[in-house]
Amino acid sequence: MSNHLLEVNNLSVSFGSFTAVDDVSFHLDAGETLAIVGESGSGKTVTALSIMRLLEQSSRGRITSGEILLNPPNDTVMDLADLPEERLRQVRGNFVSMIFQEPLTALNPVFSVQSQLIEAIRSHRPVAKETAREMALEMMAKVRIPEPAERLKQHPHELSGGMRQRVMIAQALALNPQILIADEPTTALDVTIQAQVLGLIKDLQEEMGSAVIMITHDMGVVAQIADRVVVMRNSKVVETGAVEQIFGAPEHPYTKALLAAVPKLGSMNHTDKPEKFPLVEQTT
Amino acid sequence: MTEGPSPRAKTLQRLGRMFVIRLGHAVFLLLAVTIFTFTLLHLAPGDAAQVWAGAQGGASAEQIEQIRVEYGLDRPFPQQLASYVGNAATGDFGDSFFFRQPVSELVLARVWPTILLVLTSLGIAILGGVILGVWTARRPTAPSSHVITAVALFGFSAPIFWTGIMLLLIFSSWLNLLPSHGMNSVTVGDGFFEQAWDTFLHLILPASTLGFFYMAQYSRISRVSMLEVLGSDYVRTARAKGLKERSVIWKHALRNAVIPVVTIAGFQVGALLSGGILVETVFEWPGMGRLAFEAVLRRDTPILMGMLIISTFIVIVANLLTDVAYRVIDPRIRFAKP
Amino acid sequence: MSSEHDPAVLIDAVDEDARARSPLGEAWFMFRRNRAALFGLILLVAIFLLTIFGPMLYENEPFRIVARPRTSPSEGDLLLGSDYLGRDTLAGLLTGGRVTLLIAVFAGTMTVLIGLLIGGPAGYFGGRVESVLMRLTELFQVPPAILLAMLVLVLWGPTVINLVLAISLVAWPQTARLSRGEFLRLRNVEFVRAAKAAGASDLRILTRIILPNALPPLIVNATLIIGGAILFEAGLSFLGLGDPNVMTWGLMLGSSRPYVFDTWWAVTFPGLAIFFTVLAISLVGDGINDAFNPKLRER
Repeated sequence: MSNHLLEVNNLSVSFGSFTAVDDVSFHLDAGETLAIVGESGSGKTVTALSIMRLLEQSSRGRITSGEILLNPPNDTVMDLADLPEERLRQVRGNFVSMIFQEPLTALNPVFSVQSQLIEAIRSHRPVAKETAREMALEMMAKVRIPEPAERLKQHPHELSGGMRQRVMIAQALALNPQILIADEPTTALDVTIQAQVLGLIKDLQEEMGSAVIMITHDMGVVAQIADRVVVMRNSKVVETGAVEQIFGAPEHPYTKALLAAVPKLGSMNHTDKPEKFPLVEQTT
Repeated sequence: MTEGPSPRAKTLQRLGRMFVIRLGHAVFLLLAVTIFTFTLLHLAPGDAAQVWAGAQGGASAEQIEQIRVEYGLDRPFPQQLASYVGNAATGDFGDSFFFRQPVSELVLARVWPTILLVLTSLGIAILGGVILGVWTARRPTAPSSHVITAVALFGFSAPIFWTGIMLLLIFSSWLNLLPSHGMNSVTVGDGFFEQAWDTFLHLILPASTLGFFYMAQYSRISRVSMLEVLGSDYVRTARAKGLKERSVIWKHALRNAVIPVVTIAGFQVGALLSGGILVETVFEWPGMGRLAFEAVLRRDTPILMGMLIISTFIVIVANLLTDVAYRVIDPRIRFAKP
Repeated sequence: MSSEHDPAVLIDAVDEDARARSPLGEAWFMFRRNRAALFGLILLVAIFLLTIFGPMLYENEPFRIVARPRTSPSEGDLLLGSDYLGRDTLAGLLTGGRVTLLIAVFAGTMTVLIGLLIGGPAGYFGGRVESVLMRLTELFQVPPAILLAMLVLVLWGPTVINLVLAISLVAWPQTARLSRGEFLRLRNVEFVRAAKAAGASDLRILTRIILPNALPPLIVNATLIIGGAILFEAGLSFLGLGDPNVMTWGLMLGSSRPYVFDTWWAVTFPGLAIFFTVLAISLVGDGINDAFNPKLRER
């Protein structure tokens, strides 16, 4: 038995006859940040969702083979690919949390922010409602939401996209999970907000010591946040390595192509189409 | 967004203003329906006083003349209209010629049984429809779901009164399980619980008939909206944060899925009253439907006119309540324009 | 949800061969593959054939007394027995079906026409036109349909024509709302804007461009209205407001209702006829709906 925090071995996932994830293996150590990179359709999101075992109910995907070993420090090793529903429930949001691409739709529109955070806390910790509320308030401050007490009482539609993603992060990290899976968490946000949210995830990771799996198609994000990189294409892993190695000496041609697609500073010089000016986030 | 001393007071104020706008709209609508109803009487062929007395009322020429004078039917139309609307506003819809009783008294005496029947049916329909809708949405390919979907389709393909008659044949005539007509048996005692139980037994068949018809519709609506909600991101979030499946479905998903059901149910109170009239006639339930049936038999126009206006009033009140209800359920449209 | 695990994408790939056809051809292709809709269509065609040719081949005077009253299907020569007066139930079903279907089809057509005339301009022009037309729609929508129809029939007398008018009068608001929504949506579509920019008149845009595109939901709506009209006519006849001189399924139900405990067959069979007809119409309507919106088929 190895001592990686999470170990994915030969994982395959299919939707009907279509294989979305094909014999994928990688591992994650405590406190590190692993980026899974690839274009859309490469299977990276499906991989993330299968770690959470969120495929079955929402999209009829099925894990056909492989194991997903979670090795929490003070607990026994468990295979997430083969865990009964109730044990899974205790893992989700508690040991492993996830945030998603679309902050606008990820929160339930009919409940207040407060009730959603409190609910997340109380479904894993036997604390009183008032205690949970204080924990939620603390988390709201931690993700740097201004006027956290006011925000807590509001409903998701009253918050901006960036704000909602912060609430999602607060909810995901409320119980100090060992692993945070972030599925393209900044893609849907305005450019200026992207950097803030990414910075926030990085800071909180250092503060709380969680490991992060960052799913992204953006090599810029990888450079900013990752320790190690898994490159996926057409449902398979094509290359794995430390971030310096991937950026410095990419082996696979696909990785090279991905890197070439990153716009470099000054690359827009002498072109006749100016880049669009990013919109400033509209809050309060 | 939330400056100012008390956001809560502000919220209440905005809700209050919204309600006043809706109320004004409702009054306007009721007035329009009243004018329309009275205009119909005059557009109809034949002499208004004659029509008022009813074709089968057996009114003498003298009595017709009396009606004409009493209701001012000999005055110019605008004056007649004004006096009818004015009287209607005070709850006076004239007298029924056949029953020789004010229409308002007749209708008022029948309103409560109808409301009891309609509300019970609505409860059965919403509760059953939502449960079936959720069931089929969660297992879209299971045989049980196909059966439920098929039964739902059958449910609103049959004339509602015919379903009632069939239930009557089966449960009352052949199996002799339930009373066949009325609201109370003649033989029942005086005790409150004894009477309530007796009414409940009488209520079962009509309320099920009416309820099942609409349950079929609501199960379809809630199935579609539940399927949509189950595929949504926030349901995935709810699972991702480790909630129990029970809570994912019955709290997070349902609260969203039920919004279109509530909306449609609220705006269908009129249709429910329509169905109620037929069902009441089958089971001789002493409500407004029964009265309408008797009014038709006697061509008793004033009763029909009064009932049309009073039931429009009920529908409008139900719409107002629905509006409030779905503003409570869905915070996104809490302040949306009506 | 990101598209990479969206099952609809996978399903679409399977339907590759359906894509090459014309829109109508594709709709028919989809419809044919829908077993329930196909069943409905066959049932509906059978019912139409029966009501068209049945009275020619069997007996076309449903009011004539041909047997002992209350002859049950098992005791006499009559396949479906006789009613409380001794009239042949089967003859009533066949001849009455013809009138019932005629009433429903006429009422359905008229409803859609009125709804289109009121709702279409409301959605297309918006503004004051819309608010006036929609207020009018609301005025007709709020009173319980059956009470309004009852009042109209009591005032004008229960004839077949008045039945058609009364049904259309209470049913059109639904179509008007639908038309308004469709026209409103299409008003802002690219090709309508382009036509407007090219100087096409409102009338031309409404009839040549918007109307054809709004048709599929309106056709589905028309099937719903026709099914509803059959039920509604039955309801009115049951309440004693059917045309006493013309046999319909509703009239059969209404007149036999007091004798239901002795002559169950005279009430059961007309009801079943209505049930199967409305069921067939709903299935066909659902089929058309799904055929034009293949994405929704999953539901």
